[in-house]
Amino acid sequence: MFDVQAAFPDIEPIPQDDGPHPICAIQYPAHFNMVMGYFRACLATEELSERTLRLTAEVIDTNPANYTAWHCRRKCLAALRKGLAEEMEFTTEAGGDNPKNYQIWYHRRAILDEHFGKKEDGEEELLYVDKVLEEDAKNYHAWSHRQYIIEKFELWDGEVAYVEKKIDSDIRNNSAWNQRWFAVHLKASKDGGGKYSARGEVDYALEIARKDFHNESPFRYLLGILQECWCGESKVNEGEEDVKKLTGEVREKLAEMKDQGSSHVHTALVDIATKEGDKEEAKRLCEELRDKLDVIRAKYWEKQIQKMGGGK
Amino acid sequence: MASFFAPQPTSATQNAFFEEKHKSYISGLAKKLSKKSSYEGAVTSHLRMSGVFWSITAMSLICTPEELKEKMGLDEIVEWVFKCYDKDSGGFGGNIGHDAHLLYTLSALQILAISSSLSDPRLDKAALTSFVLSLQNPDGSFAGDKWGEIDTRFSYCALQALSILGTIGDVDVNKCAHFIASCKNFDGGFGCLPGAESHAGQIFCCVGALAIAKRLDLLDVETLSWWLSERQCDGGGLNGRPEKQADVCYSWWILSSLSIMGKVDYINTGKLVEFILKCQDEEDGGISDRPSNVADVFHTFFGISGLLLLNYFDLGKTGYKQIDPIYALPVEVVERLNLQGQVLKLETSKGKSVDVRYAGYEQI
Repeated sequence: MFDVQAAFPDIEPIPQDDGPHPICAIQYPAHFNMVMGYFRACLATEELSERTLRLTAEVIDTNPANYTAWHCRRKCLAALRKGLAEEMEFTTEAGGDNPKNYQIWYHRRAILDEHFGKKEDGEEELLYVDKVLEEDAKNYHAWSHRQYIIEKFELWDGEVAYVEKKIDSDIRNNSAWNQRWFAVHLKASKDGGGKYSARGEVDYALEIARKDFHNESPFRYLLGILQECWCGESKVNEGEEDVKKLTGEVREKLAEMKDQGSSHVHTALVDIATKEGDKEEAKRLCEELRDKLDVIRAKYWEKQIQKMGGGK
Repeated sequence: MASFFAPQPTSATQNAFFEEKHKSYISGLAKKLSKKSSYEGAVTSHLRMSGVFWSITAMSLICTPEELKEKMGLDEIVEWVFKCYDKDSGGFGGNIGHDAHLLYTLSALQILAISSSLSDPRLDKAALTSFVLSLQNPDGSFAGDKWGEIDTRFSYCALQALSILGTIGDVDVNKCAHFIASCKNFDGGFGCLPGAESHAGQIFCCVGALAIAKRLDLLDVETLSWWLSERQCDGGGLNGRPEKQADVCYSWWILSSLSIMGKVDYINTGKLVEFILKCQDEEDGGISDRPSNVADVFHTFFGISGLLLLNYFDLGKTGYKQIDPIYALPVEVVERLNLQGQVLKLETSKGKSVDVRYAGYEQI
């Protein structure tokens, strides 16, 4: 335990000046007041020392989202040329099992950028992210941090396999689907000659879609891949003829799922039918969505029907 | 808070908005915070500036200017805002003595805009402009402060801050817009960085920033507006990502985005109104994220603004004002400051819809 008062006998703490208005006058707990008083004093004197570093840990302990404390910590680390493996340990502990504040993740990134550049460092950091994602598979910051590590340390090779595992354990995890898009496209651009197999992605999405017809993510992913094909994006391996064939095949496979009562199947079919110029079918599908399958968005579907020249 | 033992709302109160309760909740917030749990006050001390912005804006939307001045102590707040100015960097911090950050610089400017204090001689517009410009990276993105964290939220803060300062001409807006476009995903949405998952809060920042940059042409409007509509859950509320719980905050993030695109009517507005009203604390005022949770000032702002964009209130009523979906300020403030922006043409339902947006914006 760090005894703040004993460590700063020569320092006069600076009290909080909340301003004159009551909306800002908050009764802070005594310990918080004491720690913050010393912290404000250290900021004022710009003392970058071991004891200031330990003080920032106390501040972060009372409030991990205090960005000024994290900043001050990095300044001290740089001035003291401290061991950084230790710092990552501190950050891991401050974050707990499911860290959700921006400061903790940014601190890890800043430390990595400044002091760690070897592939092993990246692999080790990925293990940390894995642990956080075990706890909360949709932690937004963890996925974002993962993308940063994968790009920085060139670790894209195993990523599609990792994401498949994540999707297997929860096929409705939209973060994992987003990561699949990221991994497939990054690998293509780094060592796929810029291209990936649209057919492979479509087959995968359909395979998972079949397991749960009410799962938005695979259907959205499927349409994303098809859109990229339709735009004539040079990113896909398939040529123009193959894209037509692929689109037709997807339409057939989705049509087989039509009686499942899933709005996602119908929605995907609307896009494909529209693309293939089958206006009547698209309109019929929209009507079913409006009247039966997606009633909460009835107004949206009515507007689509009106755009197709129909409607109530 | 709405306690477990609170009586079930009767049909008479089911569709009511507890105006007076909300006013006393917001203006009495400080007292409530210190009584209930001082921990709450402590952990929010570093973002006090944003809290003050949300409270003042929420109040200003349902109060007369006199009421606002008196109930919120506007003059003292302006004094406090200037105390949060960080001379060394040229921006505002989240509280007195804190480092400057774009998030709080924007909140401070918005507070000054509402309180008609932008011409206060203490406001160093040139220094503020240089502070914002110093945070732009060569790829067009913005860092939040000198430490360099990058996020599309900061692009929005930067563009709006410059717009309020009247110095948006000093930045290459197209470069800003292209960075935002590089964060666009296959579902039409945006994340905090290129490749990051779409999230309704980030989408608001990106759509808002593109609206200020007048580059809404970079949106994939159909895909995005569909994805946003799909966020409506069966209970009527909106979520921020697929498979997440509905939360009143998305009534602001999503409705404002849809409003900029002229497509609020894509969702079931009646059911969303019901959801927001259910999140009110009918005893002590305030609005929470979900029914029966504890109210806070952020969700109170999101709820009131959501109801405004849903046309729930009679704007002829004294004190009531429309919220602007781009600037998150009352429309009359946008008009008074002649702030610039772009919106998409309103998609009308057989000509029935009324355009509640500021008429001075460019429509494409």
